[in-house]
Amino acid sequence: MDEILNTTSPEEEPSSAAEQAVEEAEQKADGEQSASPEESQEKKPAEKTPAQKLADYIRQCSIDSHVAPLKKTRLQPPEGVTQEEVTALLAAVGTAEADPALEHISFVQGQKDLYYFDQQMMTRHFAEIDSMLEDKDILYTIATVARSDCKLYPRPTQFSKLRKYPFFFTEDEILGAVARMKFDDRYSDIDTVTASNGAMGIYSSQFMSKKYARALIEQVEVEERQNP
Amino acid sequence: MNGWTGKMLRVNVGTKQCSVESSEKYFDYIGGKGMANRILYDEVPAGTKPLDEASKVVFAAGPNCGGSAPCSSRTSISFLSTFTKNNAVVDAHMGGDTAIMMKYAGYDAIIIEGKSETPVYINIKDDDVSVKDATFVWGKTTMDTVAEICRVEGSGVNVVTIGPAGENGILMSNMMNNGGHSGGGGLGCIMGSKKVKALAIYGTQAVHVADAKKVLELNNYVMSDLMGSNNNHVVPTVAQSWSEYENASSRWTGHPGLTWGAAEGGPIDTGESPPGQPTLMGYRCQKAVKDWGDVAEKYTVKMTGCATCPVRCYASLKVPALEEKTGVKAAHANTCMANGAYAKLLPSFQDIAEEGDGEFMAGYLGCTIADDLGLWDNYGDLSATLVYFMNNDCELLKKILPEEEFNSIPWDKRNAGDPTFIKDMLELIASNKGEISHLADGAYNVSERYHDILGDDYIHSAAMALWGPIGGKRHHGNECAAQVGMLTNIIYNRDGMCHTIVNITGSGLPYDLQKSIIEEIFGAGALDKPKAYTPMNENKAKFAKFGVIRQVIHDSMTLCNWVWPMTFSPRKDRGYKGDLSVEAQYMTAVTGKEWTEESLNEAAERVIQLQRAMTVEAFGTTDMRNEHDVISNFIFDMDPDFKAFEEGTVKMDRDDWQTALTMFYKEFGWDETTGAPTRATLEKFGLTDVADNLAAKNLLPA
Amino acid sequence: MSEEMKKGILDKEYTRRQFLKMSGKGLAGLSMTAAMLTLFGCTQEEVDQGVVETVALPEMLLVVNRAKCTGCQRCETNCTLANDGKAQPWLARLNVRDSVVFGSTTIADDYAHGGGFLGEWDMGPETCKQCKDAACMSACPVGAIKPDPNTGARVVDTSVCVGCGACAQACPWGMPKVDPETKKSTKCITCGACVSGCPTSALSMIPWEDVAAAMQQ
Repeated sequence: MDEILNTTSPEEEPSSAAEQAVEEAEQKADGEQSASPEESQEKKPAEKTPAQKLADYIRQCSIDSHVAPLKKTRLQPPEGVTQEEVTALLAAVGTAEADPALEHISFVQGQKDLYYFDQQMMTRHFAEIDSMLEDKDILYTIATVARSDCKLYPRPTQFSKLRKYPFFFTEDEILGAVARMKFDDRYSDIDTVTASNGAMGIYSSQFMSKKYARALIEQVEVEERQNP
Repeated sequence: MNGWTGKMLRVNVGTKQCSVESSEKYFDYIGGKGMANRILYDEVPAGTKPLDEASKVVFAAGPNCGGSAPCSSRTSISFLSTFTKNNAVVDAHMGGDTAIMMKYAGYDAIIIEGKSETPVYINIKDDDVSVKDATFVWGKTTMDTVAEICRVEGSGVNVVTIGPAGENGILMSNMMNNGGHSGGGGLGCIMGSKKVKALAIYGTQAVHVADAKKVLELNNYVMSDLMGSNNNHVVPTVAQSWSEYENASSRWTGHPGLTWGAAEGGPIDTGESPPGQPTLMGYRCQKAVKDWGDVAEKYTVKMTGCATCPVRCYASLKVPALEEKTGVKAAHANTCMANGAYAKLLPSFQDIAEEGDGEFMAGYLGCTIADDLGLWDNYGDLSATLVYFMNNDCELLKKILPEEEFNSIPWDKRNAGDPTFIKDMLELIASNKGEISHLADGAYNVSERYHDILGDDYIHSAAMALWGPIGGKRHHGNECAAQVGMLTNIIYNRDGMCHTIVNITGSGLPYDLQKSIIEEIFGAGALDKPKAYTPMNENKAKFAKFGVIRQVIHDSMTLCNWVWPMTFSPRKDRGYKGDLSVEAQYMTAVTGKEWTEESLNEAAERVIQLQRAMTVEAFGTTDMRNEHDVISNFIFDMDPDFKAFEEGTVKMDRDDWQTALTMFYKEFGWDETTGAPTRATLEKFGLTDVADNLAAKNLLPA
Repeated sequence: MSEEMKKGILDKEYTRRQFLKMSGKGLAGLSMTAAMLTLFGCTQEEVDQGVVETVALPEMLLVVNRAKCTGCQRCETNCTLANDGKAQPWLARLNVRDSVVFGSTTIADDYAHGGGFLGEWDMGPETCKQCKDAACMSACPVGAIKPDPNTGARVVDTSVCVGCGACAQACPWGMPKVDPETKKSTKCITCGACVSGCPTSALSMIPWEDVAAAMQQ
């Protein structure tokens, strides 16, 4: 490291063509009192519209892997955007009147709010998951994920999936939710299966039998590890 | 010449003669496995035993190797099996840097023949080749050998070496390079019998490609649009902002919050590495956590792997606490089965650094020791056999070991869950000093040797999980697309190692999406739902054949079948469809000759036809159906609560399996009764001489 | 040369000098701004532990992060395919192949606790520094190595080069190589092919404009 930097020490005389050009330019610059290099870095961009600022805000949320809840965005609008503008601009999203700056913005209708995201930065699938996490209804979240997994892949939802990003539910939270679902008619299709190593999964009887769910949890928790 | 170097090196370690010959006559077999198999066929008489002087070992790589395609640095090594029935031809597929160094040194293949009286290593520096004395490393472990030879030959030299297991004649022994890259199949034992400790290779020459710009374009296309993670899993394990699907079974484990926890300078977040960003794709496979669970994150320094591979599937750990407690090297890397298999030797586990870390520590220690000894696990065969004999208070082990030998084993350590028991046990086995070393003869030989006490139970058991009684481990068999996966296994004389199919079923995509893409290629009914399979049909036979042919293409040209082919893509805008024409495009860009999927398939099938003919010769019968392709009983008898074809099981049906074989034979143009290649089929692939040889031995089907 | 070009070079060179003054004898010990850490794709701890090296090229800053290097050697094949139309790592203008196994070209007695595949994984490419008073340039008997007027990189004029190999011998890092097929010397032209080939962003090239912006934050 020392050697590298010593060979390119700024104290030495310039010798490259590029450096000679710099010398010339520096001499010229002295005479003309041109902007210093620091000043030349400053460029003033044109002022953004509220719609652009709002789009930037939602895009940044999406980049940070989060949806932007309507209520929260209205309560704390991004700088340079009023609460009224947030309301009006977001209400028009998805309609013919939508501001062009918000053309990539879409939303998910959650249980408790509308959740906005930039479709270029986030998939609807992820927006739906994050919306459920924002709604903080663990029963609904787990049941929705389990039904989707059983219908789509098909597979029971492993507890381990729910313990990890982006859910981060604890084992107790999952067990508690499963227990509470048994007393709620909305979740009468939801049940658990256990693999031979004790790992658990959640399935929906709408989409698979318990016997099949049991066989599939065994596959993902035990058999795949035996046949990596 | 483009792609191929056009040369192969012949080294007779007995006479110490080294010579260079043209490799051109083998180009019809692509290279790699294909080339190596044909060389063996031409040069090693049928009936030769693996440890005979006439037995040869061929290292080979294909035209694509060295040319920079992603995952193009695996070495195919062909030789006679030491551990399966009738010692028929097998290939080892080794990662690391050996293949590219061989190509850059100027060789498509290296043929090793003869037997030396004294320990030697083969030193190859471009055209400067010599057989040198290896007394100074004989007896040393694989990693010490690499270091010692590199001290003599240079730090950048690729050393591929046997360990004590190979020297001592252990049938399940391997060669290792770069620490954790193994070429198994009994290779170590054959090299040991020839007294060849190692090959040391350094190449400075070029692999010429016909169209460098096109190669670079293809590299970018593959890495941006087609490639996911290890096994080409195209869906991440957890939901990420860019993903539509997630699947915990995927090897695309990288995600925000999961790190290389022991990276120098603090944890490195694996983050999001969405499709289209080739300069981040090396963060997708956090394989330590995949193999060992969350406990391994904090010990992960980084991921490494083979030269040219952007996937990086080698979990590269540093576990100082284990070294402090056991004296075993703190840093080692491997991937897959070897990482965990030997932990099974312990019934319970001592914690090392924290509560519950014992199983991880035991697995990691076992892998490090086995790799250093050059002991080959054969996809879990060795550990499964040891456990089989240690079950029920070592009931079987007590029957086969002399009392003194049994009592010399430190059982107190095992009872205490001490991981150094694994070290002691593996060192004992590798030493070949007692009866216990025969448990590393391979399941077929174990079953034969101890048949009086084992009967047929062991060889057919779920515990051993062999694809069949010839002794090959089931490696993505019926648990992977039912008949389709199972059929890919019976082609080989060891575990099949075919990943074409499991890369599809394990891709992480939902079933309906997988099915629509696969059916578009192979027709209706080719791919069943997980654990809900239907009776055999012709499209499944076509799909299974595709699995095998692609694997042979990869092993021959060379590409890693653990990642290729690109059947699927991680990209939504492609409808998750991959591109199966890329291999042929690479072949064209690299060699400058026009290749198509069809011409590449044909060349690969030629290799399979030859291999099948060699198997018929080794078995001395045309009746492959009943002598070679028989699968283990557990595959029919598993899941007693289920009937075959019931939702929830992949247990095979005996009649349906016979139908599956018939349809598979038909796809390959083999005699549908016996499964042996016919003259017409062999001639179709330009193998008239092979047909003539079989005919002379009365080994062509009627 | 247009005013705009001169200005561009002026800004770049100014930033480069500022960076060199600031980094003095290496990044270690230097307190980096958050913006610079983000730009370099590294952490302060990595800087402090010396795993991040920078090479101040005329056009850009090359950042090498050894903690991120996984030893795949794609940088080398990319380099030669892009520059020579063939794959030949030995000819590559950077060298990771000779140190991937042990982390260095010298093998420690206790190799198991050294770097590389057989040690504890520390590894990374040695790259051309584009030295100001480049030894390769001084050693060349025919003046074939000159700064490129556009990039400032010291490049070989193959029409002048006689393939004597003095440059390769003179370079402390052995970076220039005489291609045995063309009999001409080859060396780094800062094209960036190695960077685009790295699957873990262990190598990155950052334009001086971006460094300037980050230094000011």
